[in-house]
Amino acid sequence: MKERILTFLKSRGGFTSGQKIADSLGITRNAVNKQINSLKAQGYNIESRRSLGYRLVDANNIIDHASVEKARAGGLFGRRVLHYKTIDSTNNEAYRLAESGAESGSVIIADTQSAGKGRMGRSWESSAPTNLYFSLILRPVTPPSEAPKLTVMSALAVANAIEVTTGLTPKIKWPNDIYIDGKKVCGILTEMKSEADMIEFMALGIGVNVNSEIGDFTPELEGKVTTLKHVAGKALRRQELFEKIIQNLEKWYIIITHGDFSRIREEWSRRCYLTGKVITVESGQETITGVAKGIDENGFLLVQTGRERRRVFSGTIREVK
Amino acid sequence: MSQAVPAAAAIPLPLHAPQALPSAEATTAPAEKLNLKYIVSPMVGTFYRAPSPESQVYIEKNDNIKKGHVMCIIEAMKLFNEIESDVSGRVVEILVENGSSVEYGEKLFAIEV
Repeated sequence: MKERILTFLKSRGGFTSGQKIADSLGITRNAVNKQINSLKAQGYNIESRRSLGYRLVDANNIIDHASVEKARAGGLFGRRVLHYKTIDSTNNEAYRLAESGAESGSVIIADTQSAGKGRMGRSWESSAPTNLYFSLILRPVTPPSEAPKLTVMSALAVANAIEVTTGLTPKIKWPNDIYIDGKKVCGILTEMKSEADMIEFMALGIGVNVNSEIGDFTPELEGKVTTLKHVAGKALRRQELFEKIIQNLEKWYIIITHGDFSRIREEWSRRCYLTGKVITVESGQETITGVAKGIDENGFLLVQTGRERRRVFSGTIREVK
Repeated sequence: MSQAVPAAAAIPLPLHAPQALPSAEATTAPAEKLNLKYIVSPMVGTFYRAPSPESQVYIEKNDNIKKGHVMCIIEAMKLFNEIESDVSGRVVEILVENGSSVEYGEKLFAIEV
C-alpha cells in the first residue's frame, strides 16, 4: 500500500488531498495518514498542508552544485562542480574538458547519461535521475604505472561513504566494484591520457545505484545489481552521498600521493569480497582458476593456481560456487 | 591516449620497474637498413588492439600512421590507457597478441619511420 501511495503522489506532482488519495486507492482516510507517516519515517520528504493535502518533495535527489562547491571551497576536489541534466557520458565530458585544460579536482555530474560506459564497450545503465553518475578529473604528478592504485583507492572512498551514510557494510570486488548482499551497487571506470613517464590527466568515472527502483534495471541485470535505497530500506540524500564520496576521494588521494599505499592496501583487504574464495579470471585470451589471495603492493590481484601465484592486471572475475 | 615512448628517449625508470626499457642499440635493425622505432608500454597491464571485443582494431600491420594515432589500449584495474604513436611511419610489426599481458617498457609495435 505504501508503494501505491508513493506512486500516486509521484504521478500527481502537486498537492493532493487525503480524501482524494483514499478514494483513488480504496482505503480509509485514516489509513492514508498512517501510511504517509510511515513513508516519512522511511526518509521520504512529504509535505502536508491542512487545506491542500500532501505533496512529495523529491529533496532526496536534488543536486545543488553551488552548495557542493561552497562546502568544498578549501579543498582539492569539488571546488568546481559542473552539473548536467543529461550528457553522453560524464567520463567523455571530463576527458573533453581536461583536454581543454580543466583543473585537477573538477567534477562533472549528470542526472542521466545517454551512453554511460562500462568495461570493454559495455554500457552502464544511467536512465534513472535518482542515481549518481559523475567523473573526477585528476592530474596526479606520478608515472602512469602508479595510476591503477588510484582506482583501488577510489573504491575505498565510495565504500566508506556508503557505510557512513547508510550504516551498511559494503564489500569490494577487485579491483573496484562495490557489492552489498552479493549485488553490485557501484562501478568505477577510469580513462587516462599520459606520456611515457607522466600522467597528463585521468577521468575517474563513478556510478552508484542510489535511489532508483530495482525493477527499473534492464532484465539482464536482474539479481546482479541492487540500489542503496533497496538495501537500506529508505531513500538517501543523493547530494550527501556525493559530497562524502568527494571528501573521501580527496582524503585517500592525499595519502596515496604521499606514497603510502600500505594503509590503502590494509583498508582495502578488510573490505575485500573475494579473498579466500575460488574464482575464475577471464582476461584477454586466457581464463585462470584459483584462490584469491588479496592484492599486492601495486594493487594487482593475487591468485593461487596450484603451486603458482599469479598476478592479475585486469579481467572479468567470477566466484566459483 | 598516452604518448608512446620512443625507445631511444631517456626515461627515468621508477624503482619498481620490472624490466629495463630497450636500449638505444635495440631500436635499430642495421641488417635491414630500416629506421625502426618501437612503441613501448608505459605500464603493466593487458594489451588490447580494439576499444571493445566487437570493435575494429585500431591498426593493422603495414598501416601507415601519423603521430598521435591511437595504437592500442593498455588496461590495468579498469583503468584504460589509450596509447598514441609519437612517430609517423609504417607499422612493420605488431609484437604483442591481443589480450595478453604486457610489462612496463615492453615493445608493442615496430614502426619504420
